[in-house]
Amino acid sequence: MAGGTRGGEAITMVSHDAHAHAAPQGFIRKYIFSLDHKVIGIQYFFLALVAVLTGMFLSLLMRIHLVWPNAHLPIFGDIKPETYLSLLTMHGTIMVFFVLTTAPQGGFGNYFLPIQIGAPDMAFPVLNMLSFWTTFLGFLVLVAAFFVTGGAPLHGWTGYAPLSALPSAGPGEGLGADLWIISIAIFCIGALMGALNFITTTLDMRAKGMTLMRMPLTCWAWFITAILGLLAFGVLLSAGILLLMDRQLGTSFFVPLGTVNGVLTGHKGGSPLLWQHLFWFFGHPEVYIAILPAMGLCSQLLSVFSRKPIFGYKAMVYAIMAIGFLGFMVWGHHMFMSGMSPYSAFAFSIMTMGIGVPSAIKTFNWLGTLWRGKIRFSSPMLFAIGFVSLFVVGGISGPFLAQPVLDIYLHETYFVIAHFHLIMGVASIFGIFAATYYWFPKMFGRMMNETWAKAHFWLTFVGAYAIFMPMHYYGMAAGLRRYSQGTEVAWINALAPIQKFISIAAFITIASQFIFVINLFWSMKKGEKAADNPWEATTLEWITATPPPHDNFGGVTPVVHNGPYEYSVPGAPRDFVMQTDAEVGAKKH
Amino acid sequence: MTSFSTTATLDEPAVSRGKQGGPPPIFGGGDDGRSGPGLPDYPTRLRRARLGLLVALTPVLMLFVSFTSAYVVRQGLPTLDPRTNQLVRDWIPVKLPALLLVNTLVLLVSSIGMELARRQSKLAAVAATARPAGGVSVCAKGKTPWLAMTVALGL
Repeated sequence: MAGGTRGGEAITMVSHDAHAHAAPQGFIRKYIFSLDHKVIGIQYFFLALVAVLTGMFLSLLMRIHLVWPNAHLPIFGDIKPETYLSLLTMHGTIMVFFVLTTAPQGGFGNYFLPIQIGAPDMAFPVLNMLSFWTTFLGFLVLVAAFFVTGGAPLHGWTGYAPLSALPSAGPGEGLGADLWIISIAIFCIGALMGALNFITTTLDMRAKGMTLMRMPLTCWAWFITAILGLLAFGVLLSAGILLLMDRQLGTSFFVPLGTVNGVLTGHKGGSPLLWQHLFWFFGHPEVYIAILPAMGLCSQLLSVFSRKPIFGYKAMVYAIMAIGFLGFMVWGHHMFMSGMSPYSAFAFSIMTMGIGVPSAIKTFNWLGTLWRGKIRFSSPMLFAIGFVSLFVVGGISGPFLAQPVLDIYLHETYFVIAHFHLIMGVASIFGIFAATYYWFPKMFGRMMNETWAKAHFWLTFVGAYAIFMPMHYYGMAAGLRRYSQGTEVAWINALAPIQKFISIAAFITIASQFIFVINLFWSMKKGEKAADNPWEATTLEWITATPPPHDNFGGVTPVVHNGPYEYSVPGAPRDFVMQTDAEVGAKKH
Repeated sequence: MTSFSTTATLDEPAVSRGKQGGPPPIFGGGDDGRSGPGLPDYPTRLRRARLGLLVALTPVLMLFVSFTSAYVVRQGLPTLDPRTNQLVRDWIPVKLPALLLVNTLVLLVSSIGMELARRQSKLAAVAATARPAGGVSVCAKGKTPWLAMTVALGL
């Protein structure tokens, strides 16, 4: 009974032989086609790691090209304007789908959702394995687009028609674009299977006493994220199928009558805006799919490392729900430029600013949690605080862009790039870093090196601001996005020093990520051995052994008596009360 | 929807106690270490599978919602003809062949037939276990060959 007792205190558990089964033997069953949610979680994590390094490398090439457009790179040669667009497309697609969607939900969600709710595994283990391998296949198909004739597609991660619908529209729009669409479709199927598993597991497999309102906020975030995924990915899948039909079967859903290079396309009557509606109906919830798990994790960490209960648990839960719900109402704010009716623009604008309300509730609750806490500035905590900072700074430009009048000016500029990179990109990545530093001891049985973790934090934190704050100014000064070079345009050329500063900041930040990668692999082998509960946290993953046994709790199922954030409870023997400890007397919420 | 409640019973169907029956294979069967006595019991798995199916229907619904909305939008949207610079309605309605109606009807009837066959066999299974006790036939009412009908329609 690993982790059954700790510090002399008995932890109530119900013996439950039902899950006391042997772990699978054999390398392939154990590590490759494993049904264990923990192994699958780690597989997702490493897939995301490979993807993030790939995506980061593409951004490096773009940053070099933006400052030195005529540079001749060692292996790549010259970066032509269309190559730049390919890099941009693949960077966006890889980062959004295979990093921001894959790591927080597929990786950490898979590993820790069942443990945190006291379940032996996901509800459908085979489906879980399939969803990982489907996602993996999607990644391979996407990367293959680099190596086919014409190269990778040019249409951006949003795949706007008619560019994406016409193979003759550009060098990457032939086979490359087909592969892109197929990859996205495969990814959708994998994500849907994953979401199905998350929802069923959360609803059906919680341990005794683990009521919904006793779930850690991480579980709430994963649960709501799964619901968003379930509703959103089906729409993207159907849009992708229609786009493929336009390309291959001669339909005209998205392509109007028109010519490409003076040649009639053979299509007529389609609507490019229809694609935008379908895409953004998926695309906006996708933003929350990326950020909600980070929000949940951040809530968790601020409580753990402030040694205080989370401020306003219920408000946090309802805010997550409200953000998820409103996320489906605001897709039009990506389309203010499309000449939509001012009345619908107004409605989308109000809804979008409405999201500010639950977001602000969360932010103030985070600050309330920190207030007068006994804060421990460990590396996970630093990244969690960094997340709050980035969330505020990245979020505050949201209400600017939510106003159609301002958005029409800013939309095609780097202002938007700065906005979504800060809030959706870097903030979510900080969530992933925080999760890695926090859960690494549980996943691999060793601690990560704290000194290097802190160095990594400060370099990344300062670096992220150095990259993206000037980008706001660059955008406000009408620095246009998607342009591979600005040397021919006088006013953009005048802004070149800003681009140079951003690029140098990006090089330093990218270099400092290798501190993380090296620390990760070094600590797996050489890190200090971790105790079962190194952070003195209360949730269920910390009652079990490190790393957890095959069925998570070694043949017993935990019984939960307390909420997830019982820190510094008056009268308790320690400053934290495990969820499985005997119920604490007074109710504090 | 009234019929739905009858299918949501969580008791273990008597079929599984028979010689041939046995619980249907679940996810995780095989040599993965999850088979054998460590399995969650049948009602749990049944409940879980039903919940999973219900959840799985959501993206299917969304898929068809977006197909349908794409169809409707495309149908109603006038598009710009760049040659005349005017908005034109160029939707040509597809003439649906009568066969489509027949197909739909066959699909509907056979799915209803399948559900009725399922209920009949469940009833028969209950009757089979009840017979030794009472000696009274309980399955007097379900004699319609639903299963045969479904198979026939399936061809």
